[in-house]
Amino acid sequence: MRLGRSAGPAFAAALLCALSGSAFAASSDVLAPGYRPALDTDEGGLWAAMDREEAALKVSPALVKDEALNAYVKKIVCDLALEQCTSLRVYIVDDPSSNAMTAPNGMIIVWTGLLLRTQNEAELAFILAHEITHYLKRHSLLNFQTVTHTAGAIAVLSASTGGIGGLLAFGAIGALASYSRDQEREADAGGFDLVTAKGYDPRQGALFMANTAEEEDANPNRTKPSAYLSSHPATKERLATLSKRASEIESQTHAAMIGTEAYHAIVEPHRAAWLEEEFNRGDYLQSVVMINQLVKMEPESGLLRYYAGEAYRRRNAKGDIESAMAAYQAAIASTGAPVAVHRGLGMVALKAGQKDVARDAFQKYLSLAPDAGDRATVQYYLTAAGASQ
Amino acid sequence: MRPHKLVIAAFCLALAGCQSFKPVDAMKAVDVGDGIMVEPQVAWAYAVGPLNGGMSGTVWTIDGFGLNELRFLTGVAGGAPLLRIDGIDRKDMVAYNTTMLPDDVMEMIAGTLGKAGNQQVRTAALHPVPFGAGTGFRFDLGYTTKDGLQMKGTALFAQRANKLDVILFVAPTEYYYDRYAPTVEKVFASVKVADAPGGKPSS
Repeated sequence: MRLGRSAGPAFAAALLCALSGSAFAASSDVLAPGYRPALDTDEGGLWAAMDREEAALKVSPALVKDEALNAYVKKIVCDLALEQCTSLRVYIVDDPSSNAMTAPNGMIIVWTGLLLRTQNEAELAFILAHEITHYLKRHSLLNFQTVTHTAGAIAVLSASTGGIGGLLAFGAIGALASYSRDQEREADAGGFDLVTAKGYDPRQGALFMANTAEEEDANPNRTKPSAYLSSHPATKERLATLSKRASEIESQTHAAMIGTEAYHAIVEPHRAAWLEEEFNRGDYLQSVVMINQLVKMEPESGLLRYYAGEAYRRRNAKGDIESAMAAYQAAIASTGAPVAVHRGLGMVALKAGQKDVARDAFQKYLSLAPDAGDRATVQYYLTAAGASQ
Repeated sequence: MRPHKLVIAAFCLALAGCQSFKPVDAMKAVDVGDGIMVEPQVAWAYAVGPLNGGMSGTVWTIDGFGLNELRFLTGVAGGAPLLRIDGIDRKDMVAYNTTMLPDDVMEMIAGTLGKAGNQQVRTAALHPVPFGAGTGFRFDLGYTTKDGLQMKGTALFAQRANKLDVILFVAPTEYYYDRYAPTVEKVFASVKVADAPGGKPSS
């Protein structure tokens, strides 16, 4: 269910109520709509640097240009930010990292890796509301003023000429977005207030963080947390805080919006590409967990079952060949699996020594994709599986 | 076509790192490791990484690092990553496994490029080709560097005696890839492989 624009004034009132008493409303330095700092101030210089980053981002090949997707995310931002909507601009970058960031000039960057992981509109709304709060509370300006007494300020302004590379490598904005834990708590609280005032399910923010924590725990070799969690307070603390607040207001929530169908409709055309890019992170331990989280939500999806098989095949740990085979077979039994599912099944069957299964799968693949670019390779596999030339 | 400003930026990077390169004689076949000989075709310069890009391996270049790179990653043993990347722990890298199929190897190479900070890594057209007297595989690839430069590449690899040999060529899509692709094709076609360490290379 989505809330119509006609509900705006009512929710604006609800938002004001929700904000009262929260950490979000406690500060007096929330930005006014349309705010722009004078150029001869610290803040003005910072905005100018971020404007240069934004100009570079606008022409970056990494920018996702799908109009429907951009409009959808922008609408969520505007519905949350209300009169601040015109101050905020959303950019989606094609990058498998799970992250979102806000620059002090109102530029919000959302990574496709995040959109792959959020499972519904309410989860995405929580992340966006968290980012909007960073902007409204001018957290990055406070960070900048903190580092002006250190070499960090030089790094910030130097990195701000790096274009998309700097952005993706957490250069300029990354330095500014290294928020303190108190700022993150404030953004969580403000984000929670914004989404619940808008009628979103209050539990979804905590569910997203629980999934993120589960994914990260899957990799014992992980040397640093995900981009999204790297600067945040301990996930367990955030989970506890958000869960407590959700339970407090749950009884007052009559029609919590989750927005699963709307979300899936908008991201579905991109999912296969995003899942392929997920593997290019080369972190198969986490990929297996993350994709199985998606499968759990959509067990009937042949596409997700296929990618679960791909994740097991690539991880190649003990028992993964069997898990991959089961996932591929489940994908074939579902709807929406790509033709490549037969190639994947053939590959794991070949490794498992099940040459009959492998031959059947490869032959099925070639019959369904006679012009496949990897036809010669699959013929090679068929020979290895004992098929006659 | 005039080189894009990003290419110029890459050239500056190339100059910054060029002091560590040594010449490769165009007229002499070169042992690039693991019993593999190639004919350079043209005069290259070589260095052993990690260099600016942070990736290990022997690299040949004509115009400079970042503008065209022919990287030789030979004798990769089971359990070892394809290469080392500055700032990334070995245990965070995907390791070669001797049971890998050609698709698995291609995915490992793509994943390694992704680990190095590149974006939108794409692969296509995996197919078997001769590799010395044996069988190897070729595929094409593309990606965007962390500096926003669009790159194109082609890879040749073979799995021999439980080891992996990879020859990877990458260059900016704009201008440089097409300019040197024919030369790289000849280098790939010139591969000769010794049957055993110290043995005579076969073509």
